[in-house]
Amino acid sequence: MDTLRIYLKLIGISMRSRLQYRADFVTGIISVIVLNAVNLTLIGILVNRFVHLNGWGLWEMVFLYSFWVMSHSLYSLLFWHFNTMEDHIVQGTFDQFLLRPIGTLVQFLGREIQYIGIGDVIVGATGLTLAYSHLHLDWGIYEYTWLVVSVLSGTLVETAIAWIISSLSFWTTRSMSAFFVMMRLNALTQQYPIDIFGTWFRVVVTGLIPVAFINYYPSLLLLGKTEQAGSWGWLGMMSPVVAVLLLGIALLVWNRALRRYSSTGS
Amino acid sequence: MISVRHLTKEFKRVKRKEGFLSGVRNLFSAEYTIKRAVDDISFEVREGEIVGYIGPNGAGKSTSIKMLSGILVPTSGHLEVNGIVPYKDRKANARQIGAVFGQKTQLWWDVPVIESLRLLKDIYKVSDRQYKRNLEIFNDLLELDTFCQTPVRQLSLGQRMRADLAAALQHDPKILFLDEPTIGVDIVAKEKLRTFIREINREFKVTVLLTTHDMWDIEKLCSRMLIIDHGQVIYDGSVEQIRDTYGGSRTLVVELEEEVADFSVPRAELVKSEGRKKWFRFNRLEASPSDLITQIGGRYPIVDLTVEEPEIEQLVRSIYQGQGRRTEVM
Repeated sequence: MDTLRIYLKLIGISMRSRLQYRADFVTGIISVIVLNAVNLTLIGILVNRFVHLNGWGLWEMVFLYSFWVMSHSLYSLLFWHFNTMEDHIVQGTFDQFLLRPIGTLVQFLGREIQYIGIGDVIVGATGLTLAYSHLHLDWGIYEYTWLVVSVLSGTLVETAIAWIISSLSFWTTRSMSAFFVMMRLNALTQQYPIDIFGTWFRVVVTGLIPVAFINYYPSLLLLGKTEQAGSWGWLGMMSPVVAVLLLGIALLVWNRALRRYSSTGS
Repeated sequence: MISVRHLTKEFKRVKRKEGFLSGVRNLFSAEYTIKRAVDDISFEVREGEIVGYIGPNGAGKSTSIKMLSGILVPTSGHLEVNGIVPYKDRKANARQIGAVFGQKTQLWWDVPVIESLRLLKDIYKVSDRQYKRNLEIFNDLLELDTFCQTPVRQLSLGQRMRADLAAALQHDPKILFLDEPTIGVDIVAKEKLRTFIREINREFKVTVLLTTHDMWDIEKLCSRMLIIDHGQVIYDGSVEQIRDTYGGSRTLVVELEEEVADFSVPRAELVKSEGRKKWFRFNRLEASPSDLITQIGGRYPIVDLTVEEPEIEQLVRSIYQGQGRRTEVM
């Protein structure tokens, strides 16, 4: 509880820091909305030409995309700065986290907040609502609960992957290239149902860097497409499990990284 | 207060390979070189002391401070800070120490100083009473109130250092580590910082370990200094002792009424001559300045004279340059 209180205070001060640069704040949010709108339009053009993409209609694709954006919004709001870990290590600013009588992770996480995440929330919520009505979905409490659970799981999956990559930078110093790989995979899975790709790609985004759990698998379940996905269909329920597993791995790697830092200082 | 025995810290560095795919090959079969940054250092610091910790760049000063503040784990040896082993109980140690690193600020860059202080108050669980009392002290001695509403990025270096000192002291630490607290600061601001450090040491019995390249910091603040080089302690003693041991010689500079040929004086050596000015070096145990003045004045009328003390910086340099085998002048 104490940690949470400190975290909120840290976030508060980061927010006030950000607000010092108001213009940056506004342009950031606007550009995220524009970026997402362009992406959605491209999907629209693509699906309109082919009518269906491996059994996915236009609004199902919109649902898939908006689901990803929704999960991603919380990640980008609160955890985006995992990719700045390498700067803290290279410049030695990580030291100051170890100088204070509280945990290092909470200090690092409280260091920054990315307003552009708000743009993601707006786009994600709008997209999901539009898709819901066009697909004539009629959800009960169970589906809504599952939506919330799996959106949060998606956030945690992306966060855990970023956390692992940033921890690796304690060994490699630089981690930007690994983040690029994650972003590329993310870009593919956010826009297209991964069943249009070959098996090897599905194995990679399911087992190796499991970004497919951010939106693809939970969408299968929520859109009633598990049958269609065949032997992969059962994975639709697994994103909370994957999220917890990944967070566990991330915590282990992080602790090893901290131990390494305290013995090398770099 | 601080006890360091046979402290050693080694760093493993990957030996970079050259040529095709060198980066990838480094990942798999890396060769290491081992660098011993701190090599079997032992010293004690008593409560209430201000100890200068000096040595050339790369001597191991910062590494030692990082071990004492719990950032780094030593390779071997024993260290204790007020009864706590820093790397075993980092958080407990963090509560009882304060640290200022002159090169990096601990404060939040974009918000007013006072907001950083308020946040640190929560992090260190400082009571309202303690917070108010300390703020008054900081206003008084550091003139914190003149810039506490300014964002850190707009502060001058001297103000920033004062803000950092306030941030490091508001939880009433028993020990203060200062790593180059006066670096880049102008002379007037330096003097303010020194006065403040002396004050909190005297008033609140804060033990201070400070590294610096400015020998005036040492002369004005420290009762004792530790000189380290190549990871080893090469001198541990008082500032006066270093003068006695390494700097027994003084220089008498006389300006005569008119230009005369070089001449010699018993128990002194003419080291420089420039027109009417002559420099005589003498050992203060063998000769006294007044003797020399009488002798010289007896021969030629003297217009002006000064006695130059050896600069501490010069002495330290001569210790760095090999004069200093391991000397213990306790």
